[in-house]
Amino acid sequence: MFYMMTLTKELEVHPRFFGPKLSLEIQRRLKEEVEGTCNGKYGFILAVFAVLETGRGLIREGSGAAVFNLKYSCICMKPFKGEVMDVVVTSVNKMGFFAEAGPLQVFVSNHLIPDGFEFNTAHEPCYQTADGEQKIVPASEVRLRIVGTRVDASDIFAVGSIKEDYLGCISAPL
Amino acid sequence: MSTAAGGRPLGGDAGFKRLVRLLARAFYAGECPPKEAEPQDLPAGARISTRRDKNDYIGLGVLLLDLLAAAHGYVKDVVIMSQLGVSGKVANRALRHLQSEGLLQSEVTKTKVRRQNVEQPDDPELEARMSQMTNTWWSIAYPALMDSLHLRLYRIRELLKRHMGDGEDVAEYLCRRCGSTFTSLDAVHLLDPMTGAFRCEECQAELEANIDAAGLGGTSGGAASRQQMQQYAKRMLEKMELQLRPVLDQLDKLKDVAPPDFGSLRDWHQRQQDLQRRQQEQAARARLKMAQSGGAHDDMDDDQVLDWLARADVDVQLGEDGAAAAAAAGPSKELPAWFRGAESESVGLAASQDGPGGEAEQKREQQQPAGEDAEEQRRLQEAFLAAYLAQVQAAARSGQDDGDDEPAAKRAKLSTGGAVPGFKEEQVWDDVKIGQTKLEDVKPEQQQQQQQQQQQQPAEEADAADEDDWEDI
Repeated sequence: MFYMMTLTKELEVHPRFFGPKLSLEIQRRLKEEVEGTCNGKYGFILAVFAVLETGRGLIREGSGAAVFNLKYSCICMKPFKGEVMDVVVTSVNKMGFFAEAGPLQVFVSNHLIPDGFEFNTAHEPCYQTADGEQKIVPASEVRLRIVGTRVDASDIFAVGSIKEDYLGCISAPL
Repeated sequence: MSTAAGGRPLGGDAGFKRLVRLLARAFYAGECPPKEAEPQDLPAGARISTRRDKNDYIGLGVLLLDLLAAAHGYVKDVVIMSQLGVSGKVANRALRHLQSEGLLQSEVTKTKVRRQNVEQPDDPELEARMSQMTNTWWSIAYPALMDSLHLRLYRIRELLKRHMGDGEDVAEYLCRRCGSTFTSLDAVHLLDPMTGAFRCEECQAELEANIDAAGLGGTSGGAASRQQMQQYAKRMLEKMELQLRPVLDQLDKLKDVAPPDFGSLRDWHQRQQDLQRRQQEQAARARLKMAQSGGAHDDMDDDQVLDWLARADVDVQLGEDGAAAAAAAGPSKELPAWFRGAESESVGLAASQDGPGGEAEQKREQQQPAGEDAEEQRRLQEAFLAAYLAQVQAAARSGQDDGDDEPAAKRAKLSTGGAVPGFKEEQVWDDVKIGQTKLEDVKPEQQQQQQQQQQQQPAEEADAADEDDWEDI
């Protein structure tokens, strides 16, 4: 699920950027350092929306760098158990398949794939129905429900299921 | 007490006995103990030496459980062996197996015996052993049996449900080499991108789905075998529910009933003795009663005496006419007072409508008031009459006080129908008579009472005449 959050960050800026483009530099550095990271509490920080406060920088003795206590708003994504999301399949093996939704990796084990699907290695590893109408191959889009998450300090991993009504393959790769 | 009939679930002790019988047939109909239940940790040579004889003992468990359920208490092992006709070794093995399954409890008693014509050994230890007799007492441990049955059913259902694929959402993987286990949440670390297989983080061996932990969902055999296993588990579960239906029904019936607990052998023995003593006392009382009623038979045992007493009680309650029919119907429950009243009324009405056909019934009804009820009613009615008369006299006296002054004026009032004390009491008398006639219609069993009333009436009329006399005066 996506959230708009207001977070803080301590940012050190080299003295060579002290000038008229300081605020732009602060914004650039903030995006560079924060976007795409994962936080156990707030989930993935997808995008910085705006820098709300820079405050007055504090010059470090010796190095001359300025330290800013920034307050910024950003868009976060944190997966929850029971949530339904669309994912893109990345790899398929006999244990199940891996998929991702943006920065989140999801694994669907073969006992959470409907009984109609069978693992097939004829051309490329895939799960397909007996009539061949539905096929889960890398790059397929799949709708799944998250049945478990594992949240580390710097990573979130989820386990999904497509063994339910209205879940499963939603489009084949182009 | 109800009896086991037609597969109907029963409650109480009979219900528990039936449960044991059903349980025995459901789970112990084969060899007892089952052949594969032999201890596996014995060395090969020892196992050969402990092989059982070639006889089959199929159904021994059923026999043992039936016997113990029927006994409903502790039974000596010697009795079990003599009744079933099996050797002590075989019976013991089966009993121990049933005990290990949590169905039975046993206690060992040691008694000292002094054998005649036996050479006394010099060794005191051997002598002590020879002079001791050991008996094992067996009984069904109902509380433990209920627990073990519930556990058994729970585990069967749990296993089959897991195999049906309703297990954990998170699959578990097992390394056959080092024994470490992983879950599908570790999948991203376990994946070998080259082969697409999962590898153990410790030893790099290929992982397999852990069947025991996560059902049969992830067998390496693929989806087809998984489906087969799931269908098999589903079929098994349905079959189980069907085959164990009588046991489950019986168990459901006994849900809120506390299972009988025999306790320790000593307690049970004490209770048995108490019961016996109580029965003897009861029988002695019954004999005394029998002797008083003139039907004493010395050759009757206690049970017969008690039976006689029970029968005699029924006779006393029901009277001589309907005794046979009522005895067949069994002793009737005592009815509440309000119901008795209503019943006698309706019976009376029916009898009054019956006409000549209901004569016998009427007679019986008339005989019955010989009991306490009729007496009490009579007493009540007499009391009512006495109270009423007192009131009438009091009213008359007050009327006398008024009427002494102006008799002429009173007469004038009488002719106009005004409320004059003397006149009022006559009217009230009419009411009483009307009431009596009504009663006559409604309650034939009260005819007797009415007759009594009629007998009383001349006296009352005499009183009324006195009053009339007074009025004239």
